[in-house]
Amino acid sequence: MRRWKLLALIGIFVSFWSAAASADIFYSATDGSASSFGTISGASYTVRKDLYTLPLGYPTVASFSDLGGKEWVVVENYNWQDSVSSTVDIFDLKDWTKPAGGEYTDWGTNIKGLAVVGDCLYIASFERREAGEEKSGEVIRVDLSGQGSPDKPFEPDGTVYKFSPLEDILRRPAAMEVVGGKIYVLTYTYDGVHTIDAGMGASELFEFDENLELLRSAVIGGGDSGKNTQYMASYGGKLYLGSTGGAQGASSIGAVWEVNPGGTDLEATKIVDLGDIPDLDATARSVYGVSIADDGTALLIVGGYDSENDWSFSSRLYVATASALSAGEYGEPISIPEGTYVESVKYDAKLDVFWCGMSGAGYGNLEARGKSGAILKTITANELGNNIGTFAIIGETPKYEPSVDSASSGGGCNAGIGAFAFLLLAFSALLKIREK
Amino acid sequence: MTAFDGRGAEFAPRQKNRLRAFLLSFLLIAAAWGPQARAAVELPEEVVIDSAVHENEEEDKYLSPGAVTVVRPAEYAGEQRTLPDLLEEVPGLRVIRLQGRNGYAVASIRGSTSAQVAVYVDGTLMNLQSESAVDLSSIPVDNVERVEVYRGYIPARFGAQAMGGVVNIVTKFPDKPKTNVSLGIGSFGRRKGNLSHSTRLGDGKFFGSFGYETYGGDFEYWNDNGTPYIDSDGYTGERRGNGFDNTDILLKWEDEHWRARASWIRRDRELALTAPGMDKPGVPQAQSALLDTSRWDVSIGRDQVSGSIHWGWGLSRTGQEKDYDSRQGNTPTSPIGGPNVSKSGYDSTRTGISLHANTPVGEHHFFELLAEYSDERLHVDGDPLYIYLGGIEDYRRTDWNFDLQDTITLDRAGTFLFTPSIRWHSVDGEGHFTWQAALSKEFSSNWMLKGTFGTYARSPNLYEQYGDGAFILPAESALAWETGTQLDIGVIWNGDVKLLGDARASASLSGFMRETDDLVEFQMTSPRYGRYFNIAQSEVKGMELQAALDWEKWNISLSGTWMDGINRTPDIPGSVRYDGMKLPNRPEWSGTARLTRKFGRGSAFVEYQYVGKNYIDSSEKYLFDARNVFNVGVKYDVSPTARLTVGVNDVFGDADDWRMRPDPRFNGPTQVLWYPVEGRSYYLTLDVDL
Repeated sequence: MRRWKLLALIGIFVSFWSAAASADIFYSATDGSASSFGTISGASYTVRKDLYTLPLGYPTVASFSDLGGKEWVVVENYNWQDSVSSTVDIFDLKDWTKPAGGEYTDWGTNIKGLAVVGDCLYIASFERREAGEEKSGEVIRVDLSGQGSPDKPFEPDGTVYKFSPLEDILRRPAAMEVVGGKIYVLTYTYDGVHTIDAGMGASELFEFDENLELLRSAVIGGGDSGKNTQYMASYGGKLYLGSTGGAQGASSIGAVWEVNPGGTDLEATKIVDLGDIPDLDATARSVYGVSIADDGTALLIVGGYDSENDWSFSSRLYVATASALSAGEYGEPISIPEGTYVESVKYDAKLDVFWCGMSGAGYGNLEARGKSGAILKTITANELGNNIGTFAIIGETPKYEPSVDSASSGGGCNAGIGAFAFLLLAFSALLKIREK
Repeated sequence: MTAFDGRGAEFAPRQKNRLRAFLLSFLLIAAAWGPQARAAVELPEEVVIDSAVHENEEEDKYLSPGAVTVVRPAEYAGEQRTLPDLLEEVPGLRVIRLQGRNGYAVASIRGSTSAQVAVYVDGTLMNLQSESAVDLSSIPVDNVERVEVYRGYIPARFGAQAMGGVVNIVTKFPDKPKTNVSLGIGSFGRRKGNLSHSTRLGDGKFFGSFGYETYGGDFEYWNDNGTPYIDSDGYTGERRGNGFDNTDILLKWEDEHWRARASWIRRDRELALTAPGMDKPGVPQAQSALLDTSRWDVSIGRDQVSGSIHWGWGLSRTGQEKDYDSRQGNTPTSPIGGPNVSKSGYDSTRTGISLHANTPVGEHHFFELLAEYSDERLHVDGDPLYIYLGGIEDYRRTDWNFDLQDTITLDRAGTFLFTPSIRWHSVDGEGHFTWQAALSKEFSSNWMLKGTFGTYARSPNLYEQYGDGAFILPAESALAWETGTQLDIGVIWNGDVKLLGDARASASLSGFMRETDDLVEFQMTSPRYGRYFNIAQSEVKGMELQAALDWEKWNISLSGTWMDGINRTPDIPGSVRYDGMKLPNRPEWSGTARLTRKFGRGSAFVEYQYVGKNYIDSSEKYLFDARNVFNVGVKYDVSPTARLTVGVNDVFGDADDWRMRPDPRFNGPTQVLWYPVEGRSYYLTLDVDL
């Protein structure tokens, strides 16, 4: 009996240790002047807040795992003014005193996505800033196989794809995914000169190989409904894209698009036209997020600005499936707290939940929702340290590795469980020895 | 454009209670002291705005039944001080500066918001609806006689909704003909000159001045390249985008009854970009944006005496044109407003009329009355108007204000005063009633005790109600007025002391507490926009000390503030915590000390300024460093009509080391300020009476 009590105590200790060492969510929380960062771990949603702080609002966060399966989290010090590129801090989850290797200055500015293919990490950067000049976005490669400096293991290796302007309009990456070993980068264009309606150009999807050679590209749709496509998810070898349909006002009508990279071209097929939603008002005609779980359950953020009145923002959340979307069905609306709106949604495979970043006047909670859309857990802004800013799912960077078996063995969470299992075996063996 | 939704002039229950409490206390006091009102007692000296210079500083305490501090720029003549510099000498007042020492600067009094501070120049209200607060850096001080700062109790002669306090600037008006020229140079390209002339004109006196100042603002500083963890890539940068050109003209005339005034100020200023990673030597830099502001006012008024009633009226018209230019064309990273905002303009004009009167009633009452009406129109133009707001370009607001104050003498000696006042302010049909009461007692020629209590209200301005045309949206509905209460108690002492010889000394110590409800606060409501809401509450308490010691050749002046500003906004259920957090930009401790030594034909001084660390954010995460600055200077009369002043500000270059750093409870980088401040600087001023 005593043995089982001892084992239980050890189990509790090791579980706690595993939760602390690995995490599911890395987030920023902000009041607009300063930001703090924290993690959320395990099915008990253990929050560790205020692990690190920065004197700026709304920094971007991301995460990736190196080739040894070690998880790293990324904080981008986004500078709002021209001429100065962002710096990037990369942290080991166990050491928050300062970033590993100091800041990185060549990760571009305004990170829109990270992906790992083989031995390399790829960064989709919104823009490149140089003195007195801004340039189109880039895809930047980092060799994770130890080729970089020991002091700076995540320095870019010099392989960069620079997007050229589209009819003099800068191309801006908005999202990145990996399907079948290929890298897909979604871009949109806005000239910044005309009013948004007039200046909004086409959105495009680009396909790259691991050397950032451009393989194919395609414009999303042929008219306004494909403009300003900024959201992308992958499921079942297909890509699902969400567009605002232009300038995000009442005149825009967005859509959900499907791309089959395995096909002969990258043509995007409009599968859901938001104009078909019968009770959709003028404030919610654009797609502001799409996320698909590993069983095909999809959450869709539909929202918009009330450009005819006071430019207030509202959004709705729909739950559907990837196959339903493909069939033109947008699913059922889910209720959200009054006076709030869903700003972002990401699927967390480890906990099998969708994380929803909520916003509204004085409101900035993070909600974990099940596949029905029901709230499983609300983590309040107070628990987070402040209103939720941005967040990343740790250990779920879009990834492609040749061996399915090896791919499933990686990840920080798995490392934690592995350690737990190892310790249990060791203690069990020790007890057996004592019995003898 | 639609005006605010009028809520009528009915009192809310809470206001009714306050009204009842006030009336009750007023009647009780009046009843208790009524019989004595017939006794022959001297009334307090009347104090009227624009009155003559107080030759004796001890009279300052009579300017208000509450706390008041007077700063006389003449004491700092030649030191090239700006208005924000002068105000930093005032206890309880915090100057909040953006974009460096010479950039946008606003005042917070006793922890108030800057919107709650009213600024007057020669009786003209400077607060306009096109901005949240008065930019103190845009007001020249070369021709200022004195700056009065009223805290707590606001005398009835100020009609503005000054919840925080009043900064009252009174310009010079010499009685004798005089022409003065002042020329100055300083570090980092500062050049300034001022010409003033006063003379008799007709039956009255005239004063005119012309001033010009230019400042390059390029100074060297250490830039960490935006990478505080990498030591090797820091560099010495040359700060850019801090420059400005100021021009101002002031004309005044008055005789026994009439007064007229006109002023024009033009301030063209660069809007500095934030520093980290900028200003690299040899690297082309993005241009900073420009803000060109023209401000003018004309006023005319008449004062006269009818029997025992001193009364008068005034007409004024004030205008401001504020134009932003990104100098980069329409770019998504435009440094003004937001994406694609290249130019924007905000033009305000306000027309006002006022009637004031004062009279003794009986022998124990002295009534002061002020009635004002103003009509302000704001015209917005430029990119934000059409990009974001659908072309709403004209806004209007009308204000009515009535103030009545009675100074009641409660004893035969005239040393015990009760001063109640009531104020009715109406904006676009919605009115609010507030009241104040003060008790003061002079125990002897040395000691005086003051205590005040009152309620305050401020209507949201057009900026808060209708947004800025870029990222601030119109409020969801008519914003409610901010309301609050304050109380303070203070003791004032003047006298002679034996301390290192015979010295004349004065000291005042005040404790204060203020609470504000329905604070109008900005909140982001979408990824791109925000708006103002009535959501916040605050509680501030503190102590203010002011002291001076005068020997034959030495002088010491001290001021110090301790303040505890707490956010009392209730936590949003299930969301973020506000209650109990420190208010940002309110240092717990601040103070100045100045030692002056007079000699033969001149004087020398050394000054120490301290501002304690304070949070930059509302969640106690990041701090600005404490500041310890020493200034020294020498003034020398090279002839009976010419004075030369030389000095060094920030002698030890303390500003070079100012950083932002995380609260010790958290991890985070220590990094260069967003807007670095020039360190040691030198100046030389020649002041000549012609």
